[in-house]
Amino acid sequence: MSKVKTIRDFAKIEEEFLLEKLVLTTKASGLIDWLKRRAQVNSLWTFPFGTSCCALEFMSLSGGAQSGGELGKDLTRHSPERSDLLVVGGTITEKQAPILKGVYEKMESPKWVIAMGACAASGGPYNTYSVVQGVSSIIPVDVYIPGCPPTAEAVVAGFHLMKERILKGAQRGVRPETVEKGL
Amino acid sequence: MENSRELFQKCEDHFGPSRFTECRPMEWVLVGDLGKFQDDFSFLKESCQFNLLLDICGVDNLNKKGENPSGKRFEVNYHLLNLEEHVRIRVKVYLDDRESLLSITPLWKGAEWFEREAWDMYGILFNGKPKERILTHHEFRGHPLRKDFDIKKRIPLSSPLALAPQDTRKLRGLPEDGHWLNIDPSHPITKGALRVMVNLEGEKIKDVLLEIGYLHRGFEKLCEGLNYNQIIPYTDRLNYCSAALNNIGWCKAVEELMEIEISERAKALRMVFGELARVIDHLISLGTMAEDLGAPTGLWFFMELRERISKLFTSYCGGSFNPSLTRVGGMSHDLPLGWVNDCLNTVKSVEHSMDDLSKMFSQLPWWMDKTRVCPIEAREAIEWGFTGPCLRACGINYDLRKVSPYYYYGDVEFEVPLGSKGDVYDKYLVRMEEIRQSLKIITQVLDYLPVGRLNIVDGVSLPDKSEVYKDKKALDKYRSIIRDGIKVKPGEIYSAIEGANGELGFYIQSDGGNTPYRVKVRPPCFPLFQSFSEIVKGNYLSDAYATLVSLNIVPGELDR
Amino acid sequence: MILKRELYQRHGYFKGILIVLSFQVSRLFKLFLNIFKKGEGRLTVSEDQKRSQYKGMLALTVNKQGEIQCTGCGLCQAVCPSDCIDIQFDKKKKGVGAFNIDLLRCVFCGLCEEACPIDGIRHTAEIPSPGHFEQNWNVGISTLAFRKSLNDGKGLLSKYTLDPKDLDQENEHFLEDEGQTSNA
Repeated sequence: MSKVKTIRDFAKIEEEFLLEKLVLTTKASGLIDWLKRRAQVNSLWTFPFGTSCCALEFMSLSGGAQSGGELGKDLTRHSPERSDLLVVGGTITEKQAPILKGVYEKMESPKWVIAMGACAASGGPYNTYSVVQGVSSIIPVDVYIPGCPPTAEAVVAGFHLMKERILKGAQRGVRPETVEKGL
Repeated sequence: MENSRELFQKCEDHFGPSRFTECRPMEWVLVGDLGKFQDDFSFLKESCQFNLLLDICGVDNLNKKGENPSGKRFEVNYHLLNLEEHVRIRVKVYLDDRESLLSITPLWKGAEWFEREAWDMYGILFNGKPKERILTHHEFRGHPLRKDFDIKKRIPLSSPLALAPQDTRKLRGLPEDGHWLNIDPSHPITKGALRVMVNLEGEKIKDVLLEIGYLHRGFEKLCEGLNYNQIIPYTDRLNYCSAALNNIGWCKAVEELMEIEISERAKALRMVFGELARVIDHLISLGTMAEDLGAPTGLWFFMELRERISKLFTSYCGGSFNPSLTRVGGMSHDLPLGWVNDCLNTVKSVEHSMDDLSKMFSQLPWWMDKTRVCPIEAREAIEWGFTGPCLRACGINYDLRKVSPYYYYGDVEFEVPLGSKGDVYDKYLVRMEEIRQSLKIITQVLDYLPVGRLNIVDGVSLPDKSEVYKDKKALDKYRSIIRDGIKVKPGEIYSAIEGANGELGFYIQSDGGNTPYRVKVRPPCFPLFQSFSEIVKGNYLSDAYATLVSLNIVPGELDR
Repeated sequence: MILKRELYQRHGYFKGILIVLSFQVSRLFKLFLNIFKKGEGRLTVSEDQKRSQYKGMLALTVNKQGEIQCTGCGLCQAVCPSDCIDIQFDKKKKGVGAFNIDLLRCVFCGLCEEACPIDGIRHTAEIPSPGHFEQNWNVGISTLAFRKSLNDGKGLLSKYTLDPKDLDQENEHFLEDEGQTSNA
């Protein structure tokens, strides 16, 4: 990791050392893995990394009026060392990118990432000199939730999708096209 | 009114009619001279009482069509306000690439960050000031708002600043020792995009350094390539808590520049949605104040009221956030059936709940202990450039809806609450009372809602879809308005409305095309956050948290 | 208006506790009475019908013959603020060859629906659903017009019937200023 000069190098190294692409296994390999995944899914603690409007939308969802609280939507801890699900909501600028990467590195594996909203997923309407076009060029993303901002039902569906993914043992990966283009 | 005429005469006698003109009622223009810079500004501040500095805006005249009166490349516009006569003046100073200006921070304390922004965006130098970036990061090369800077040229940042750069600390004489505490943007109190570095001695604060720009998205550069109607979804995302007010401010500025009148029904609807947005903003601000001061369930009391009002927005435009309600010349579409009844019922239930809710916080000893801290004097507030509820909490009666009423604000009855000391408790009381007054305005307007066509301006508003489907001429008109956009004649304007946080101003320069030449937003929370470092000196850290939350900083508006 | 003097008077400690407790108890009591009220759903059908605009998932409408209404004039592409629409015109067919929308860039603002003069593209009430990162987020005509939720794959019928003579004129107009439809 000492060879990392810029944030873009991080994505390339991750691709070399970790799994190249997604592997969705449909059969649980062994009882221990099955139990481990059940335990992980039912005890997710989220870190809401919200910068703009999506942060406000996520905050208004944490009240508990919608379901999904059992999947960790309501339980938020503002500390990376104690959480395993990172929800990125809001526009990420070049100035904010090292902080996001630092937070992701401090989290202990296994960890998962949800990119909420158009700005986190792809830069959204802001194709300018200071906005990162998609968080996947900095950290590996598991689930995208489109919308600007996504409605309450969409966020809850995103959490359910995350649950399916963890139960199937899916590992996180990097969106292949962005790494090749070197964005 | 007569005093403003006398003031006008006094200025005209001093500067001469060639330099000093009146471009619109209550908006004066002075063409500055680099040689008499210091004298002009001292005269304006001391003899003419232009006490409040609103904005400093730079412009690059490289690609401008039409005549350039001075022949120089850059132009800097200073916007000043006289609080008693409610008059604004714009001072225009022209300069070339290598020339530098004198700084006006000795006269107006709040000019420092505006000047840093002018350096960051254009490269305009100010004498005696360090070259410090404010919105872009410290490894950025180039000046983004210059016309020859490509908008898509991104420069990544390798590592964040450990603390402020070395030369800044030496220049300001900051202590090298002492315990520096870094409150990062990922701390929950900072709303995601502010950085506060405090130098502590025990629990008391000795010094504060601020860093912003974590949500700088390049709104002003984007506007130079978009039509006037395409900019409306971007204005939603400036102050995302009260999005409708931003839309209204933008459309009002464009309509005043084009000198067109919108229909009566559109004016009334804009007032209703504006006041609803103001109520939502105040509820969110009070809710986050309650949560950060140790009452996390207080947030849910306020959010529940906010949900009731969001349903009204959802039934009008499909989503509670980012409504994009207005268009230049009117509104996007008319109200659905039964909306007015729903609105009146919601307003009644919110009013009823507000009375209950204030019992939970006002006058209670633990709340007053936490919030009767950090008072601000009125004179200091004006020096920094405060507007809005924070200025009214200090006791100054300045509300744009009363002093220069637009739309039908002159016809409705409402009152403007004033505080006395300017501390956090006063700001809380002012906001609670403003919610009640806004609800009063909404009921009055809805009782007398005008009927008639909504979008009546020919050539600017789109014809109705039902006409377009039948008539070929309407279809051609529709296509030409959408493809070519709206053309605005050359000119400039600074127009402001009373936003939820203060005076939200838009400065637009047009050179005759269908895209604006320069757009500048005057964010109300920019001067508020600038003063934060001075207000909290000598107080405890927890009092600093309370003050930060009461200023209601919205990063989308602060960084644009 | 100067605020009332009483608001600055501090209650005693025990009086404060009594006030808050009484408020909480009365609130709990009102919530308890809700059990005996008829339940109001979150978003009932009648509330849904009261809306005058939707900002959900996009849909391309179809004409009476079952093909897409869109003529490929490119107005929606010109108006989109985030540049997420990509239209490819097929000169041989004189119609739309490909219509792609990048769902991760779309902000669901409604400007494209407003811009279309022939009711070719519309926002529905359906919510854009989240998905895994490796799925294809650049959706084409098969998803936009003929997905299962739109009348079981047959598509939404457009409100406007296009005259075949108008169709040639529309396409001529497009072919004339091809290349001028991109955002400035």
